[in-house]
Amino acid sequence: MNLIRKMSAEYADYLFDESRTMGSADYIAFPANEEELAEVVRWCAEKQVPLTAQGALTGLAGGASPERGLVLNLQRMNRILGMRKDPDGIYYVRVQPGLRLAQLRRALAVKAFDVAGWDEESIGTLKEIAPGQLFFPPDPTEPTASIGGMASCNACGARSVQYGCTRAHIHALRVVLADGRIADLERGKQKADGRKIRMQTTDGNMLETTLPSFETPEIKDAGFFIRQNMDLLDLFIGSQGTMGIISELELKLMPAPKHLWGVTAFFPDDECALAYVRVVKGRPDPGVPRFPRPAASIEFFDKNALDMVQRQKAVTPAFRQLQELPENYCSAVYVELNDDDPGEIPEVLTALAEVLTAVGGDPERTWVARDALELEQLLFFRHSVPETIDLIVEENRKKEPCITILSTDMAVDDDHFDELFHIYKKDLQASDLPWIIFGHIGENHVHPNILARDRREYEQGHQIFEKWARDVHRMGGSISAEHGAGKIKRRLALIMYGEERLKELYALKRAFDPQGILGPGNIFENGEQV
Amino acid sequence: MKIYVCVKQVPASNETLLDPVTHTIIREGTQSILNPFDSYAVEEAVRIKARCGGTVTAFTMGIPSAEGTLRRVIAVGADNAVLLTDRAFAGSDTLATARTLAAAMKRKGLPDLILCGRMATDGDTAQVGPMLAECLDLPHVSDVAEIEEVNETECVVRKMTDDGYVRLRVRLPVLLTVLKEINIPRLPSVSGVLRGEKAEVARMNREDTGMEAGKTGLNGSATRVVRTERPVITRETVWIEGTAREQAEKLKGYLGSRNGDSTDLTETTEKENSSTPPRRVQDDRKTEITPGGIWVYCEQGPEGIRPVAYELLGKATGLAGEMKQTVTAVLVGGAEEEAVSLTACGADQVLLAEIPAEELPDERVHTAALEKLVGKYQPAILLLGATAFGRSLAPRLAARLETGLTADCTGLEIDPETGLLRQTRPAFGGNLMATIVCPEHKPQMATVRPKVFQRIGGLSNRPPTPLRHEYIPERSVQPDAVNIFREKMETAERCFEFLERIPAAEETDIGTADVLISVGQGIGGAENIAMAEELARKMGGTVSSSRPLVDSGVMPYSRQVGQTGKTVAPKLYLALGISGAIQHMAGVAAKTIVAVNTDPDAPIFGCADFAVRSDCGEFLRAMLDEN
Repeated sequence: MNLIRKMSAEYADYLFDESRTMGSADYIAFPANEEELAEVVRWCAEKQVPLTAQGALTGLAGGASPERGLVLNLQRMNRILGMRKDPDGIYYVRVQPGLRLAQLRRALAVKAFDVAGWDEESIGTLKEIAPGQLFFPPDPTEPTASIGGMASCNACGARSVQYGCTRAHIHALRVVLADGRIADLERGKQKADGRKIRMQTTDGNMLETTLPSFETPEIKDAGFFIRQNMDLLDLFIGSQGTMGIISELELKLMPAPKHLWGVTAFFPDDECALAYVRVVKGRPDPGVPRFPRPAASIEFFDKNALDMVQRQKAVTPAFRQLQELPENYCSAVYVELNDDDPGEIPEVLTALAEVLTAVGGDPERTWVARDALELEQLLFFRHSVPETIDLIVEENRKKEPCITILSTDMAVDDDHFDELFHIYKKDLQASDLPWIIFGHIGENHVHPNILARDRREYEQGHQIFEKWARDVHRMGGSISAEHGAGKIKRRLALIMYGEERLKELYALKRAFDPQGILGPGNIFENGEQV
Repeated sequence: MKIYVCVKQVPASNETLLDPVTHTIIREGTQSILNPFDSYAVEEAVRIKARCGGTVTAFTMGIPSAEGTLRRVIAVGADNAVLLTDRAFAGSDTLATARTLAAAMKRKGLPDLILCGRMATDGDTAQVGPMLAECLDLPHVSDVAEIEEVNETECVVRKMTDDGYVRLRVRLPVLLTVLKEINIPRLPSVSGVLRGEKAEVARMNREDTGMEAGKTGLNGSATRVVRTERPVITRETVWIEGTAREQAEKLKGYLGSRNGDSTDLTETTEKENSSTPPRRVQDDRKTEITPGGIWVYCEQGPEGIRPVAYELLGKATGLAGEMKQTVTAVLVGGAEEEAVSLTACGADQVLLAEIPAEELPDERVHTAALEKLVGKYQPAILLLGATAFGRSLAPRLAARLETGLTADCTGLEIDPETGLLRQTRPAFGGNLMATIVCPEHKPQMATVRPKVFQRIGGLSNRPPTPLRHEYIPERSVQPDAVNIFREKMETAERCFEFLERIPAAEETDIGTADVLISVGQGIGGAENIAMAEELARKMGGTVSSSRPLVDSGVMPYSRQVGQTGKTVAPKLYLALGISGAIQHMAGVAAKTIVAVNTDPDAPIFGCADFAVRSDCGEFLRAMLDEN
């Protein structure tokens, strides 16, 4: 069969994702549509070949790095298939999983769609909308991420403070199951009955099983989602290709914010920054005025992150355009805001200046971006941190190929965040590892990164992560708020779920995937033995 | 130190509309921003103030809402702001704008230093700065990449030229236009924004500037926009379908079959070169420089006369035929040997202004020379190459001659009814083509970018013997003889003192490449740019870029193709992830254009010979596979 090709050197780029987790595979397939996708899965089921689904390979946990078998690359399934409006006036867009977030954003922003094959309802709906009227809120750091990949690990990104994770914006899914049959699932329609699942496939077959006896954390979590009476499509969001392969998604769109702007503020120490974040999130603080607006996103950068980018500026020409940091900086916090009227900005800034002064910051040591052009600079600065991590890891790998990105995305609730932050800092300062902390502080999950230079440091990094996983578990948090456990963090998943619960989850997976061919090595460490 | 900065409010997007009746810009109702180029001038002013002390005052001319732009400038450190606003200013061309700014600045007291951005993103003319300097009778230096030293009396600057950088010493007061590479403009702070909001913005109307009624705005402008239209670029496009691999295969096939053509192209060019240039009626050829002729200013670089001069002579020959006029090549300085080749390429006479030898052409010296020659011989049309120096000299000269100037023309024709020169140029980032005339002032001046027009004749001709005409001797009937008229110039004031030349780093010149692999925003990451470079190597070409990647610092400016970059004329132009905005395509004079883009509606497909709808990474991988 032409669809399935023998793995060869020319496909070497498909053996690893952004985390640099190197995998191996025997076959690779690039299906162009759902039919071909199902055909590949049927072939795998017949031959008992395990398969790993891939989107745009921007993941940070190795979820798309194959562990033997077949690489199911979905980049060719990158079309927007249609759109509709429901009676409540909400717009939906149907897409294939390989579509990149940036492509969807651009199509919506400039209203440029390839409408070949669209039905009349879709074309009629398209005629109604204006360029830039609608947007898809999830905002992972990497805009080249695929929509399917975002769903598979329930990505959230910076703006989830205001809009929630990818899961909240998926209305319907089509899923190719482990035997190649297809399920068509819509939110609110196909639901579990208590813990009983009866899932009909498009050919009329019925898949029956029972949900695990527990519920997954309430906190934002990139892994499995288990609830009584849950929508069945949620089983496939966050499960990283271990339950089925998403072949089509219907996304819920929102009216685009009229005016997006932001402020990056620099603080003399982390405690001031933490106090500022608390106020921005609307938690009352005696002696500090209320923050004037709800934030769309809140991002944190520690001194090590700022220093690291500053050093990289000398090496990477593209970074030359970055703003110059104020003198004696320690940490920085970026806050993104939405307003209907840019005329209100001065009023908001007057209030913001008072907040900054009250928490120990300085309204002079800030960067304000009031329009899209200026905002791009703040986002560029934000993006320069993971970009630099990438460059450093790539460099370190030259000496020690086992090194991958070591980034965590653990999350806890508001009450525990400061405690967790101090644990991070204490443990990292006690080590002799190079480290930085940055990320989505608004959602209580920052990304401590360990930039291991050799095998010893790499292993030590993993040990520290496991300690944190136990700390986070004690606080009732999640070991992965947005990247998913993938392969790098499956030991952390074991710590979070515990052996018993992980076994229950694995049993659920096997009910959907009796031969255990889907997503080998993802979430479940060496699945067979759990 | 007293520093003035000129800023302009421009539309946030270039999808702006022009009033269909007056052909002036409708500014109301569109979102406006500070011209991005001006932010570098503001930043430099604020930095100099921090170093030397003093005040920074920002000037703008515009509608009342331009006050918002001035508040933004105060937010990043300017002390004062002046808004020139009056209905009487509406419709100003670049010269009317410069005059009004000059009048206002004289009222407010002349500064030590005036800083301007290199150009504005809406007009793209880069004229107001040098014109303002001329109106104030100050020296100016364009394209400043670095202000190395500055004190109350002089400054040392590093300036970009077409041949690398030069270091110059300039006496204050002076006007400098600055490049983007000079600094990284800061974002305002919270306190800064609030200062900007509270600041006083001084307003000046026509009376406040002391300008005479009827001498400002549209009435005070030498140029008139007579037509605007949406540009249409069409080519018959072949869509290449299939998987990336199939697409790559098919494309290679098509390009292979076209290869024959490319060879033919070279041969025809040579054939053209060796033939005598098409001449106007031979008997009509005049032996003197009569009023009403067409002049081409021939700039001399380190390697002799710049090629654009020959291209302009080629175009001028055609125009002169319609006007029954002669073509005069004008040289300021330089040796008469240079004159020989000019005649072979279309010049009827060569007019040589004798000036003291110079290391680097000086705008003020050349302005004085050309002013004298124009005054004496009264040409109807004066064309200049839009080189770095041409773009700096032409506005200064136009302001001195008080005539209109149209920058970066892509079309020149004679209106059969009025006999006026119709000058067509892209505006608003190429979203509109504007046709401009200069009805009441002479000469009608235009600059044209290199490679827009084709030269006729060539250097391969046997060099004819130069003849010298001190006055007006009997004209030789020899077809290839050279008529040289020499004029001695008095010493003129200079803009600068030349210090040294900093040669350009060994850079590939995209202007001369036969194969260009051009990358745009849709290229999708550094690894794909690396693949583009590999493909370029395999195809014996060079990688060029569209503006967004240059603006974001990913690609160097020297690789930028388009209206604000370089005009290129390769045999094959392979555009990867380039949307194909007109300002980009304005710089592409390729024989074959191949466009690769995921967006089927990308405008570039409308002007491509071969259209490949594909992800750039996939396409490159497929091309490299078996190339």
